Amino acid sequence: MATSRLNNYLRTHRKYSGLSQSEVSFLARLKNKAELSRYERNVRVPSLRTALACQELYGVAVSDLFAGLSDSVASDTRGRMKRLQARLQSRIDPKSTGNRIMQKFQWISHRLLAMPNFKLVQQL
Amino acid sequence: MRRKGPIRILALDLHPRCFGYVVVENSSRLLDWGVCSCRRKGRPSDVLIQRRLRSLLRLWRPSLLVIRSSQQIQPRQKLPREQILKGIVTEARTYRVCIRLLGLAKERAEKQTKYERAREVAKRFPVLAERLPLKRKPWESEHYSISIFEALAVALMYSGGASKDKVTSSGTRT
Repeated sequence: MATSRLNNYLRTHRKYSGLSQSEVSFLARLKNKAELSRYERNVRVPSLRTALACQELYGVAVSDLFAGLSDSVASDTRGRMKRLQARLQSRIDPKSTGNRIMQKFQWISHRLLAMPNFKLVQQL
Repeated sequence: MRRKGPIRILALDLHPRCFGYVVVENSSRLLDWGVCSCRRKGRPSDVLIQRRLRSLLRLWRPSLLVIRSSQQIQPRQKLPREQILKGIVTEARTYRVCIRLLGLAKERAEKQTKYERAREVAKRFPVLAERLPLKRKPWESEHYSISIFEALAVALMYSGGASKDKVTSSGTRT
């Protein structure tokens, strides 16, 4: 029964603020309220400037405003990091230490370990 | 089943020509609220479902649809209500949403009025306090925004867990 987080919570925060779509679109420097409506209905993804304006306006972090989008980007990036880690691991020369590949591999491994919900799949 | 994310509930308070709705996430976070109506001539069920409800289902992607079932339906309201319910079941099947029909049995037993329920709900969610209408006089008709509070009361009752014994009938699960 559980569902994933919504792509954005712009409408919720606007309703809590009590502002209308035209007022918020004026504050966020949008052309008209239709543009904001498209963002709220998840038809379009706003630009970084608009996202930051919304963060400033509602006092909520961009990652919380665009929670679902943030989750999907995070999981995608994590997957790519794991792929790169595996690729680097195959290129590491066990005899030589202190090379650049090893450095990159260690950095990615540390970053993955620091991430929440990380599952250690590959052992060094 | 292991929970992966939040549970979103769309609660409706149905009337022949309008419905009040609320969207609640994890029973504590109110996401959206409002009243959708159709005042034109003809069959309002088509407009209410195909335009209003469909857009809500598409926007909020709820996992559960809770509908307040009123036990005292006037005969002239029975047919439009059944038409709307039939349409809702079809839409729920399309969007893979479970439906629950719920009656406010406890409140009726305690002889709580709609206004008292609304006041309790407004205390819990202060953001709705400004939409709370004044207590109506016996000769006045019901304020349209009271159905928002009724829908929220049903959503809270369902998600509160204590409501399991009050479920009058369960809908379809697709």
